[in-house]
Amino acid sequence: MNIMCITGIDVFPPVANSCDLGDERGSIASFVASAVLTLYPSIGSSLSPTAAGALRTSIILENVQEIRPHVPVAALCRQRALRALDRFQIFPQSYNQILVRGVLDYCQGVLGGMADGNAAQASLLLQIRRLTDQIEALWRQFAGQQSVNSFALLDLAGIEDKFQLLQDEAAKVGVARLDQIPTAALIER
Amino acid sequence: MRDLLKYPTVIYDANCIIYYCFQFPEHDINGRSITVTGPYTEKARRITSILVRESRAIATLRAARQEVETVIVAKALSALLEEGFIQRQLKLTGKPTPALKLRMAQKLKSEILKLTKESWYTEDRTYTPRQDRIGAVRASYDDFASNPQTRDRIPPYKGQPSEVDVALILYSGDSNLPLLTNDREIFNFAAELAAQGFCALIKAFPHVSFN
Repeated sequence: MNIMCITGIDVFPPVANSCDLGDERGSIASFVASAVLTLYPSIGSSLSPTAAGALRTSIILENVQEIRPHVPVAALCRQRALRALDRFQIFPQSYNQILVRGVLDYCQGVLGGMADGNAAQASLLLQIRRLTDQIEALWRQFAGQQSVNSFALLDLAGIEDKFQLLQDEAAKVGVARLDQIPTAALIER
Repeated sequence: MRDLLKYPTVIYDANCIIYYCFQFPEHDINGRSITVTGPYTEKARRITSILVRESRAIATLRAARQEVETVIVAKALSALLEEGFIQRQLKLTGKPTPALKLRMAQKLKSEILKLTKESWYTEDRTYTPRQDRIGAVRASYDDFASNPQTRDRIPPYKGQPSEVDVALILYSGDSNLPLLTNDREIFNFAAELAAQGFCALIKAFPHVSFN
């Protein structure tokens, strides 16, 4: 299997590239990374401390975006959030559009100030990643011209609830909830 | 106001609901607590307070309230942001981020929730106009559009009222209650719609006076 060619720092470059595109191969990468670490635990010990940290973060994230340590996971998640934020801009005006864009904007702001390998923030990173996944799935479902208007009528209470939980998690690690962010910090630069 | 006070209940359209609700706490750019208020909120609140003081109720259709929550909140917020109306109150020097927009939209939704809990607010969850009556209203609007004497009263880029607006017009007729609306497409044809028995009374929000 090609996946056996893990060498130190540069792990699964083809998979990492596929994840950069944000497609379904990301979940395959997650599976592969988990399986490799389970079957070959010695790999973890053969990596440098930085690479091992990045790999651990990746496993925590479940869906591995990128496990090359020189490409920070938080930065990649932020890229995805920004891309999704941009995609929803063309949707017709609705509360749901404001909701998903607001959530993504908050998340990208949190990710912007996040350091990779910070164990205390791993859970927050995971929640952000899952919420971003869910919102991206909505985009894929409703981006077609026929169904864009029905997006406004969707019940997105689940996303609102998860956003509240995410903010609770953020507060635990000292990141301000949306309500607590000074207005001056919420102006586009 | 006098014509509205002749009735035990006044029906609000989606615009009147959002005008009433467009008032929420926020912090300006300097961190001072302020209350963001929409341009028509003061008038909508004054009308409502008079009605409530005189023991009148406010009613709307569930569909209208849902329209406010799903679409009108966003459109009103975006329009007031584009006009710079909210920026001036918050003393913003730039465009608000999507996160700030969400914070304000969530506060607006809370205000709508507060309204729905008021003892004087009622919401008809079951009313559905008859299909033949909907067809008759639509046929009238086709006539308004084709008749040279009435077509000038149709506002630019407008034509047929929305499904919710047609339901509100017919709800006024079926319940014999007045409809308060800021929709020109509706109040410009108040006399014709009443004459045809579609509504009890259509009152234009801008025409409400307190004398």
